[in-house]
Amino acid sequence: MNKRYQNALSCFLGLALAASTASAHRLWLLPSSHVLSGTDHWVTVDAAVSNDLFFPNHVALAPESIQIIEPDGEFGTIENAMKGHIRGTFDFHVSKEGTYRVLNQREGYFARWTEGGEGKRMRGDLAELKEAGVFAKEGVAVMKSLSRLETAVTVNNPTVDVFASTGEGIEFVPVTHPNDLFANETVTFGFLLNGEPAEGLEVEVVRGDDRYRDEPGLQTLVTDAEGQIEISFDEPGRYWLDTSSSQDAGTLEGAPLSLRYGLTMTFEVLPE
Amino acid sequence: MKTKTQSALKAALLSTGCLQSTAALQLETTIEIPRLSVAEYHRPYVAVWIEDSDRKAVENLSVLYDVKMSNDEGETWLKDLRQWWRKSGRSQDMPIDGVSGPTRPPGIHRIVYRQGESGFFNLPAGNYAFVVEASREVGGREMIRIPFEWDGQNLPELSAQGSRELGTVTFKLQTNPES
Repeated sequence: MNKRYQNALSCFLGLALAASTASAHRLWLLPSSHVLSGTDHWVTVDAAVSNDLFFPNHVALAPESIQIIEPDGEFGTIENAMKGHIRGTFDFHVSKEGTYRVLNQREGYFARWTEGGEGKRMRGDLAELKEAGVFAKEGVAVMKSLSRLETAVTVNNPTVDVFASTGEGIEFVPVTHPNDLFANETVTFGFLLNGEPAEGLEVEVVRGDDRYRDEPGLQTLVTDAEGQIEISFDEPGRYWLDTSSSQDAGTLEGAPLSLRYGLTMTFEVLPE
Repeated sequence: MKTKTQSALKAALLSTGCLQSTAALQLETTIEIPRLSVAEYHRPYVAVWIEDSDRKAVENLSVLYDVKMSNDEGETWLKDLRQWWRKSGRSQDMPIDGVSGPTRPPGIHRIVYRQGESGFFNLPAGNYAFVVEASREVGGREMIRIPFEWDGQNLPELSAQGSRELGTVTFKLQTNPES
Protein backbone atom coordinates (compact mmCIF):
# COMPACT_ATOMS: atom_id res chain seq x y z
CA MET A 1 0.00 0.00 0.00
CA ASN A 2 1.48 3.32 -0.95
CA LYS A 3 1.67 6.22 1.45
CA ARG A 4 -0.83 8.37 -0.38
CA TYR A 5 -3.42 5.64 -0.27
CA GLN A 6 -2.82 5.09 3.44
CA ASN A 7 -3.32 8.77 4.18
CA ALA A 8 -6.48 8.82 2.17
CA LEU A 9 -7.73 5.86 4.14
CA SER A 10 -7.18 7.34 7.54
CA CYS A 11 -8.61 10.71 6.47
CA PHE A 12 -11.68 9.01 5.27
CA LEU A 13 -12.21 6.60 8.11
CA GLY A 14 -14.27 8.87 10.31
CA LEU A 15 -16.81 9.51 7.61
CA ALA A 16 -16.96 5.85 6.65
CA LEU A 17 -17.82 4.69 10.12
CA ALA A 18 -20.28 7.49 10.62
CA ALA A 19 -21.99 6.54 7.39
CA SER A 20 -22.13 2.87 8.25
CA THR A 21 -24.01 3.55 11.46
CA ALA A 22 -26.67 5.64 9.72
CA SER A 23 -28.14 3.25 7.21
CA ALA A 24 -30.26 5.84 5.45
CA HIS A 25 -27.10 7.51 4.25
CA ARG A 26 -25.98 5.72 1.17
CA LEU A 27 -22.48 5.86 -0.22
CA TRP A 28 -22.21 5.84 -3.98
CA LEU A 29 -19.88 6.24 -6.91
CA LEU A 30 -21.59 7.16 -10.13
CA PRO A 31 -19.57 7.08 -13.37
CA SER A 32 -20.76 8.99 -16.44
CA SER A 33 -20.56 5.77 -18.50
CA HIS A 34 -20.56 2.11 -17.59
CA VAL A 35 -20.27 0.73 -21.13
CA LEU A 36 -18.00 2.27 -23.74
CA SER A 37 -16.99 1.44 -27.31
CA GLY A 38 -13.77 2.51 -28.96
CA THR A 39 -10.64 3.02 -26.89
CA ASP A 40 -10.12 6.65 -25.97
CA HIS A 41 -12.53 8.21 -23.53
CA TRP A 42 -12.91 10.25 -20.40
CA VAL A 43 -15.14 9.08 -17.61
CA THR A 44 -16.25 11.46 -14.88
CA VAL A 45 -17.36 10.11 -11.53
CA ASP A 46 -19.52 11.61 -8.81
CA ALA A 47 -18.85 10.39 -5.28
CA ALA A 48 -21.18 11.16 -2.41
CA VAL A 49 -23.10 10.03 0.63
CA SER A 50 -26.77 10.84 0.33
CA ASN A 51 -30.27 9.70 1.15
CA ASP A 52 -31.63 9.83 -2.39
CA LEU A 53 -30.02 7.81 -5.15
CA PHE A 54 -28.23 9.25 -7.01
CA PHE A 55 -28.63 12.86 -5.91
CA PRO A 56 -26.02 14.50 -3.72
CA ASN A 57 -27.72 15.96 -0.64
CA HIS A 58 -25.60 15.11 2.36
CA VAL A 59 -21.81 14.74 2.35
CA ALA A 60 -19.12 14.51 -0.34
CA LEU A 61 -16.73 11.60 -0.65
CA ALA A 62 -13.12 12.69 -1.06
CA PRO A 63 -11.77 11.85 -4.53
CA GLU A 64 -8.35 11.06 -2.97
CA SER A 65 -9.93 8.08 -1.24
CA ILE A 66 -10.72 6.45 -4.57
CA GLN A 67 -8.55 4.20 -6.71
CA ILE A 68 -8.90 3.35 -10.38
CA ILE A 69 -7.85 -0.21 -11.13
CA GLU A 70 -7.25 -0.64 -14.85
CA PRO A 71 -8.05 -3.83 -16.78
CA ASP A 72 -4.40 -4.98 -16.57
CA GLY A 73 -4.14 -4.27 -12.83
CA GLU A 74 -2.29 -0.94 -13.12
CA PHE A 75 -3.56 1.98 -11.08
CA GLY A 76 -5.14 4.77 -13.10
CA THR A 77 -4.79 8.47 -12.39
CA ILE A 78 -7.51 10.59 -10.88
CA GLU A 79 -7.71 13.98 -12.57
CA ASN A 80 -9.67 17.19 -12.04
CA ALA A 81 -10.56 16.10 -8.53
CA MET A 82 -12.89 18.41 -6.65
CA LYS A 83 -14.48 17.96 -3.27
CA GLY A 84 -17.53 20.10 -2.79
CA HIS A 85 -19.75 20.22 0.25
CA ILE A 86 -22.09 17.48 -0.88
CA ARG A 87 -20.36 15.85 -3.85
CA GLY A 88 -16.85 14.80 -4.77
CA THR A 89 -16.03 14.50 -8.44
CA PHE A 90 -13.09 13.48 -10.62
CA ASP A 91 -12.22 12.25 -14.10
CA PHE A 92 -10.16 9.35 -15.29
CA HIS A 93 -8.85 8.60 -18.74
CA VAL A 94 -9.79 5.34 -20.35
CA SER A 95 -7.40 4.00 -22.96
CA LYS A 96 -7.31 0.25 -22.37
CA GLU A 97 -9.79 -2.38 -23.39
CA GLY A 98 -11.61 -4.32 -20.71
CA THR A 99 -13.12 -3.65 -17.32
CA TYR A 100 -12.00 -0.85 -15.00
CA ARG A 101 -12.84 -0.94 -11.31
CA VAL A 102 -13.42 2.28 -9.39
CA LEU A 103 -12.82 1.47 -5.74
CA ASN A 104 -13.02 3.18 -2.40
CA GLN A 105 -11.70 0.83 0.26
CA ARG A 106 -11.89 1.79 3.90
CA GLU A 107 -10.44 -0.06 6.83
CA GLY A 108 -9.67 0.71 10.39
CA TYR A 109 -10.46 0.15 14.06
CA PHE A 110 -13.16 1.52 16.27
CA ALA A 111 -13.01 1.21 20.06
CA ARG A 112 -15.74 1.85 22.64
CA TRP A 113 -15.47 1.92 26.39
CA THR A 114 -16.92 3.65 29.42
CA GLU A 115 -14.84 5.94 31.59
CA GLY A 116 -16.20 7.73 34.64
CA GLY A 117 -19.75 6.86 33.62
CA GLU A 118 -19.22 8.46 30.22
CA GLY A 119 -19.29 6.62 26.88
CA LYS A 120 -15.98 7.00 25.04
CA ARG A 121 -14.95 6.01 21.56
CA MET A 122 -11.97 6.24 19.30
CA ARG A 123 -11.24 5.50 15.67
CA GLY A 124 -7.93 4.93 14.03
CA ASP A 125 -5.47 2.33 12.93
CA LEU A 126 -4.13 -0.26 15.32
CA ALA A 127 -0.99 1.71 16.20
CA GLU A 128 -3.03 4.80 17.08
CA LEU A 129 -5.32 2.82 19.34
CA LYS A 130 -2.37 1.19 21.10
CA GLU A 131 -0.60 4.49 21.54
CA ALA A 132 -3.71 6.00 23.13
CA GLY A 133 -3.76 3.15 25.64
CA VAL A 134 -7.23 2.11 24.53
CA PHE A 135 -6.64 -1.58 25.19
CA ALA A 136 -5.96 -0.88 28.87
CA LYS A 137 -9.39 0.74 29.35
CA GLU A 138 -11.84 -1.23 31.39
CA GLY A 139 -14.64 -2.82 29.38
CA VAL A 140 -13.19 -1.79 26.03
CA ALA A 141 -14.56 -3.49 22.90
CA VAL A 142 -12.88 -3.15 19.52
CA MET A 143 -14.32 -3.43 16.03
CA LYS A 144 -12.23 -3.89 12.93
CA SER A 145 -13.91 -2.69 9.79
CA LEU A 146 -13.20 -3.26 6.08
CA SER A 147 -15.65 -1.81 3.60
CA ARG A 148 -15.57 -1.42 -0.12
CA LEU A 149 -17.52 0.95 -2.30
CA GLU A 150 -17.12 0.33 -5.99
CA THR A 151 -18.37 0.43 -9.52
CA ALA A 152 -17.18 -0.90 -12.86
CA VAL A 153 -16.70 0.62 -16.31
CA THR A 154 -16.05 -1.48 -19.40
CA VAL A 155 -14.48 -0.61 -22.73
CA ASN A 156 -15.42 -3.12 -25.43
CA ASN A 157 -15.36 -6.69 -24.10
CA PRO A 158 -15.94 -7.10 -20.34
CA THR A 159 -13.06 -8.67 -18.42
CA VAL A 160 -12.90 -9.96 -14.84
CA ASP A 161 -9.25 -9.59 -13.77
CA VAL A 162 -10.01 -6.50 -11.67
CA PHE A 163 -12.34 -8.56 -9.46
CA ALA A 164 -9.59 -10.94 -8.32
CA SER A 165 -10.12 -11.77 -4.65
CA THR A 166 -7.76 -10.51 -1.97
CA GLY A 167 -9.25 -13.02 0.46
CA GLU A 168 -10.29 -10.34 2.93
CA GLY A 169 -13.69 -8.83 3.56
CA ILE A 170 -16.70 -9.06 1.28
CA GLU A 171 -15.85 -9.20 -2.39
CA PHE A 172 -17.97 -9.27 -5.53
CA VAL A 173 -17.79 -12.21 -7.93
CA PRO A 174 -18.91 -11.34 -11.48
CA VAL A 175 -20.85 -14.53 -12.27
CA THR A 176 -22.86 -12.14 -14.44
CA HIS A 177 -20.61 -9.26 -15.35
CA PRO A 178 -21.82 -5.97 -13.78
CA ASN A 179 -21.42 -4.20 -17.14
CA ASP A 180 -23.60 -6.73 -18.95
CA LEU A 181 -26.98 -6.19 -17.31
CA PHE A 182 -30.26 -5.88 -19.16
CA ALA A 183 -33.79 -5.47 -17.88
CA ASN A 184 -35.95 -8.60 -17.52
CA GLU A 185 -33.05 -11.01 -17.63
CA THR A 186 -32.10 -13.12 -14.64
CA VAL A 187 -28.55 -12.46 -13.56
CA THR A 188 -26.33 -14.05 -10.93
CA PHE A 189 -24.07 -12.11 -8.58
CA GLY A 190 -21.62 -13.87 -6.29
CA PHE A 191 -20.05 -12.76 -3.04
CA LEU A 192 -17.03 -13.94 -1.10
CA LEU A 193 -16.45 -13.47 2.60
CA ASN A 194 -12.75 -13.69 3.38
CA GLY A 195 -12.19 -15.55 0.14
CA GLU A 196 -14.94 -18.16 0.66
CA PRO A 197 -18.46 -18.19 -0.81
CA ALA A 198 -20.53 -15.99 1.51
CA GLU A 199 -23.64 -17.95 2.40
CA GLY A 200 -26.59 -16.23 4.06
CA LEU A 201 -25.51 -12.70 3.23
CA GLU A 202 -28.38 -10.23 3.04
CA VAL A 203 -28.03 -8.14 -0.08
CA GLU A 204 -30.11 -5.02 -0.61
CA VAL A 205 -30.73 -3.79 -4.14
CA VAL A 206 -32.55 -0.61 -5.06
CA ARG A 207 -32.98 1.35 -8.25
CA GLY A 208 -31.92 4.97 -8.36
CA ASP A 209 -34.28 7.90 -8.91
CA ASP A 210 -36.15 7.09 -5.72
CA ARG A 211 -36.94 10.78 -5.55
CA TYR A 212 -39.53 10.17 -8.24
CA ARG A 213 -41.50 7.37 -6.66
CA ASP A 214 -43.44 6.82 -3.46
CA GLU A 215 -42.20 3.34 -2.66
CA PRO A 216 -38.57 2.77 -1.71
CA GLY A 217 -38.55 -0.31 -3.95
CA LEU A 218 -35.87 -2.04 -1.93
CA GLN A 219 -35.29 -5.74 -2.67
CA THR A 220 -33.52 -7.88 -0.09
CA LEU A 221 -32.00 -11.15 -1.27
CA VAL A 222 -30.08 -13.76 0.69
CA THR A 223 -27.09 -15.55 -0.81
CA ASP A 224 -27.25 -19.33 -1.24
CA ALA A 225 -24.61 -21.93 -0.32
CA GLU A 226 -22.51 -20.80 -3.30
CA GLY A 227 -22.64 -17.23 -2.01
CA GLN A 228 -24.85 -16.20 -4.92
CA ILE A 229 -28.07 -14.34 -5.54
CA GLU A 230 -30.23 -14.42 -8.63
CA ILE A 231 -32.01 -11.25 -9.53
CA SER A 232 -33.83 -9.69 -12.44
CA PHE A 233 -34.48 -6.02 -12.91
CA ASP A 234 -37.94 -4.95 -14.03
CA GLU A 235 -36.74 -1.60 -15.20
CA PRO A 236 -33.58 -0.26 -16.76
CA GLY A 237 -31.73 2.31 -14.72
CA ARG A 238 -28.88 2.79 -12.32
CA TYR A 239 -28.97 0.55 -9.27
CA TRP A 240 -27.34 0.47 -5.87
CA LEU A 241 -26.40 -2.70 -4.02
CA ASP A 242 -25.34 -2.98 -0.40
CA THR A 243 -24.41 -5.82 1.91
CA SER A 244 -22.54 -6.23 5.15
CA SER A 245 -21.54 -8.85 7.65
CA SER A 246 -20.46 -8.73 11.28
CA GLN A 247 -18.87 -11.44 13.36
CA ASP A 248 -17.10 -11.91 16.68
CA ALA A 249 -13.44 -12.70 16.30
CA GLY A 250 -12.03 -13.51 19.72
CA THR A 251 -9.87 -10.88 21.33
CA LEU A 252 -7.29 -8.32 20.32
CA GLU A 253 -4.78 -7.21 22.95
CA GLY A 254 -7.16 -8.64 25.53
CA ALA A 255 -10.21 -6.72 24.26
CA PRO A 256 -13.18 -8.47 22.61
CA LEU A 257 -12.87 -8.01 18.86
CA SER A 258 -15.60 -7.96 16.27
CA LEU A 259 -15.19 -7.71 12.51
CA ARG A 260 -17.44 -5.74 10.21
CA TYR A 261 -17.26 -6.11 6.46
CA GLY A 262 -19.23 -4.14 3.91
CA LEU A 263 -19.64 -3.94 0.16
CA THR A 264 -21.56 -1.29 -1.76
CA MET A 265 -21.82 -1.15 -5.52
CA THR A 266 -23.49 0.86 -8.23
CA PHE A 267 -24.27 -0.57 -11.64
CA GLU A 268 -26.37 0.09 -14.70
CA VAL A 269 -29.16 -1.98 -16.21
CA LEU A 270 -29.91 -1.30 -19.87
CA PRO A 271 -33.21 -1.77 -21.68
CA GLU A 272 -33.26 -4.57 -24.25
CA MET B 1 -44.26 -13.24 -44.62
CA LYS B 2 -45.22 -14.92 -47.89
CA THR B 3 -45.16 -18.58 -46.96
CA LYS B 4 -47.56 -19.41 -49.76
CA THR B 5 -45.22 -17.99 -52.38
CA GLN B 6 -42.36 -19.79 -50.78
CA SER B 7 -44.13 -23.14 -50.89
CA ALA B 8 -45.03 -22.60 -54.52
CA LEU B 9 -41.46 -21.65 -55.33
CA LYS B 10 -40.13 -24.65 -53.50
CA ALA B 11 -42.53 -26.94 -55.40
CA ALA B 12 -41.47 -25.40 -58.68
CA LEU B 13 -37.82 -25.76 -57.82
CA LEU B 14 -38.31 -29.35 -56.78
CA SER B 15 -40.20 -30.20 -59.99
CA THR B 16 -37.47 -28.75 -62.17
CA GLY B 17 -34.72 -30.22 -60.07
CA CYS B 18 -33.31 -26.75 -59.46
CA LEU B 19 -33.17 -27.26 -55.74
CA GLN B 20 -30.17 -29.49 -56.17
CA SER B 21 -28.51 -27.15 -58.64
CA THR B 22 -25.26 -25.47 -57.72
CA ALA B 23 -26.26 -22.01 -58.97
CA ALA B 24 -24.91 -19.52 -56.44
CA LEU B 25 -27.45 -17.83 -54.23
CA GLN B 26 -27.60 -14.36 -52.84
CA LEU B 27 -29.51 -12.80 -50.03
CA GLU B 28 -31.13 -9.52 -50.93
CA THR B 29 -32.13 -7.24 -48.13
CA THR B 30 -33.83 -3.90 -48.22
CA ILE B 31 -33.73 -1.61 -45.23
CA GLU B 32 -35.78 1.53 -45.16
CA ILE B 33 -34.40 4.42 -43.18
CA PRO B 34 -37.29 6.80 -42.63
CA ARG B 35 -36.99 10.49 -43.27
CA LEU B 36 -37.59 12.17 -39.93
CA SER B 37 -38.55 15.71 -39.36
CA VAL B 38 -36.34 16.58 -36.41
CA ALA B 39 -34.31 19.66 -35.59
CA GLU B 40 -31.02 17.78 -35.41
CA TYR B 41 -30.72 14.80 -37.71
CA HIS B 42 -27.84 12.37 -37.84
CA ARG B 43 -27.87 9.28 -39.99
CA PRO B 44 -28.50 6.20 -37.88
CA TYR B 45 -25.98 3.54 -37.08
CA VAL B 46 -27.44 0.26 -38.33
CA ALA B 47 -26.43 -3.31 -37.55
CA VAL B 48 -27.78 -6.37 -39.39
CA TRP B 49 -27.00 -9.82 -38.08
CA ILE B 50 -28.24 -13.38 -37.73
CA GLU B 51 -29.09 -14.92 -34.37
CA ASP B 52 -29.53 -18.58 -33.64
CA SER B 53 -32.39 -20.00 -31.59
CA ASP B 54 -30.51 -19.12 -28.37
CA ARG B 55 -30.38 -15.53 -29.60
CA LYS B 56 -26.63 -15.69 -29.99
CA ALA B 57 -25.19 -13.68 -32.87
CA VAL B 58 -23.84 -16.23 -35.37
CA GLU B 59 -23.20 -14.04 -38.41
CA ASN B 60 -22.71 -10.33 -38.89
CA LEU B 61 -24.14 -9.09 -42.16
CA SER B 62 -23.63 -5.32 -41.97
CA VAL B 63 -22.65 -2.61 -39.54
CA LEU B 64 -23.16 0.88 -40.89
CA TYR B 65 -21.45 3.60 -38.89
CA ASP B 66 -19.03 6.52 -39.21
CA VAL B 67 -16.22 4.29 -40.43
CA LYS B 68 -14.21 7.17 -41.86
CA MET B 69 -14.01 9.44 -38.82
CA SER B 70 -10.48 10.20 -37.67
CA ASN B 71 -9.00 8.29 -34.72
CA ASP B 72 -11.81 5.73 -35.02
CA GLU B 73 -14.07 8.22 -33.28
CA GLY B 74 -17.03 6.71 -35.09
CA GLU B 75 -16.62 3.67 -32.85
CA THR B 76 -17.54 5.75 -29.81
CA TRP B 77 -21.25 5.36 -30.51
CA LEU B 78 -21.26 1.70 -31.56
CA LYS B 79 -22.29 0.82 -28.01
CA ASP B 80 -25.63 2.51 -28.70
CA LEU B 81 -26.46 -0.39 -31.01
CA ARG B 82 -26.71 -2.00 -27.64
CA GLN B 83 -27.91 -5.48 -28.51
CA TRP B 84 -25.52 -5.84 -31.40
CA TRP B 85 -22.75 -4.36 -29.26
CA ARG B 86 -23.39 -6.89 -26.52
CA LYS B 87 -23.83 -9.90 -28.75
CA SER B 88 -21.07 -9.26 -31.20
CA GLY B 89 -19.60 -5.79 -31.53
CA ARG B 90 -17.71 -5.56 -28.29
CA SER B 91 -15.70 -8.68 -29.08
CA GLN B 92 -14.88 -7.60 -32.65
CA ASP B 93 -11.91 -5.79 -33.99
CA MET B 94 -13.48 -2.91 -35.89
CA PRO B 95 -13.83 -2.38 -38.79
CA ILE B 96 -14.97 -5.84 -39.86
CA ASP B 97 -14.01 -6.71 -43.42
CA GLY B 98 -17.01 -6.94 -45.71
CA VAL B 99 -19.36 -6.03 -42.85
CA SER B 100 -18.48 -2.48 -41.81
CA GLY B 101 -19.76 0.25 -44.07
CA PRO B 102 -20.67 3.92 -44.01
CA THR B 103 -23.97 5.25 -42.70
CA ARG B 104 -26.79 5.71 -45.20
CA PRO B 105 -29.20 8.60 -45.72
CA PRO B 106 -32.97 8.23 -45.43
CA GLY B 107 -34.37 6.01 -48.20
CA ILE B 108 -34.63 2.35 -49.11
CA HIS B 109 -31.26 0.66 -49.19
CA ARG B 110 -30.62 -2.63 -50.94
CA ILE B 111 -27.76 -4.71 -49.62
CA VAL B 112 -26.87 -8.03 -51.25
CA TYR B 113 -24.89 -10.82 -49.57
CA ARG B 114 -23.49 -13.41 -51.98
CA GLN B 115 -22.90 -17.08 -51.44
CA GLY B 116 -19.18 -17.62 -51.22
CA GLU B 117 -18.70 -14.18 -49.66
CA SER B 118 -21.08 -14.24 -46.72
CA GLY B 119 -20.96 -16.85 -43.98
CA PHE B 120 -24.75 -16.80 -43.92
CA PHE B 121 -24.93 -19.54 -46.56
CA ASN B 122 -22.80 -21.87 -44.48
CA LEU B 123 -25.05 -21.77 -41.45
CA PRO B 124 -26.27 -25.25 -40.52
CA ALA B 125 -29.98 -25.98 -40.91
CA GLY B 126 -32.04 -24.64 -38.02
CA ASN B 127 -34.08 -21.81 -36.64
CA TYR B 128 -32.64 -18.33 -36.82
CA ALA B 129 -33.65 -14.70 -36.81
CA PHE B 130 -32.63 -11.72 -38.87
CA VAL B 131 -32.06 -8.79 -36.60
CA VAL B 132 -31.82 -5.17 -37.65
CA GLU B 133 -30.98 -2.56 -35.05
CA ALA B 134 -30.81 1.17 -35.69
CA SER B 135 -29.64 3.91 -33.36
CA ARG B 136 -29.45 7.59 -34.11
CA GLU B 137 -27.31 10.18 -32.36
CA VAL B 138 -29.58 12.45 -30.26
CA GLY B 139 -32.41 10.32 -31.60
CA GLY B 140 -34.10 7.03 -30.93
CA ARG B 141 -33.25 3.39 -31.27
CA GLU B 142 -35.21 0.47 -32.68
CA MET B 143 -34.63 -3.23 -33.17
CA ILE B 144 -36.51 -5.61 -35.44
CA ARG B 145 -36.19 -9.37 -35.07
CA ILE B 146 -37.57 -11.64 -37.84
CA PRO B 147 -37.46 -15.38 -37.14
CA PHE B 148 -36.95 -17.85 -40.00
CA GLU B 149 -36.11 -21.45 -40.67
CA TRP B 150 -33.06 -22.22 -42.76
CA ASP B 151 -32.20 -25.44 -44.57
CA GLY B 152 -29.28 -24.09 -46.57
CA GLN B 153 -31.27 -23.64 -49.78
CA ASN B 154 -34.62 -22.06 -49.14
CA LEU B 155 -35.92 -19.01 -47.45
CA PRO B 156 -39.38 -17.51 -47.49
CA GLU B 157 -39.46 -13.86 -48.38
CA LEU B 158 -39.46 -12.10 -45.05
CA SER B 159 -40.44 -8.63 -44.11
CA ALA B 160 -41.28 -6.55 -41.09
CA GLN B 161 -42.27 -3.00 -40.47
CA GLY B 162 -40.49 -0.71 -38.08
CA SER B 163 -42.29 2.05 -36.30
CA ARG B 164 -39.81 4.85 -35.65
CA GLU B 165 -36.18 4.48 -36.58
CA LEU B 166 -36.73 1.82 -39.22
CA GLY B 167 -39.27 1.52 -42.04
CA THR B 168 -39.85 -1.69 -43.98
CA VAL B 169 -37.17 -4.34 -43.75
CA THR B 170 -37.16 -7.27 -46.22
CA PHE B 171 -35.05 -10.34 -46.83
CA LYS B 172 -35.24 -12.66 -49.81
CA LEU B 173 -33.13 -15.34 -51.39
CA GLN B 174 -32.27 -15.08 -55.08
CA THR B 175 -30.07 -16.78 -57.58
CA ASN B 176 -26.97 -14.70 -58.09
CA PRO B 177 -27.39 -13.37 -61.66
CA GLU B 178 -23.62 -13.38 -62.16
CA SER B 179 -23.15 -17.02 -61.27
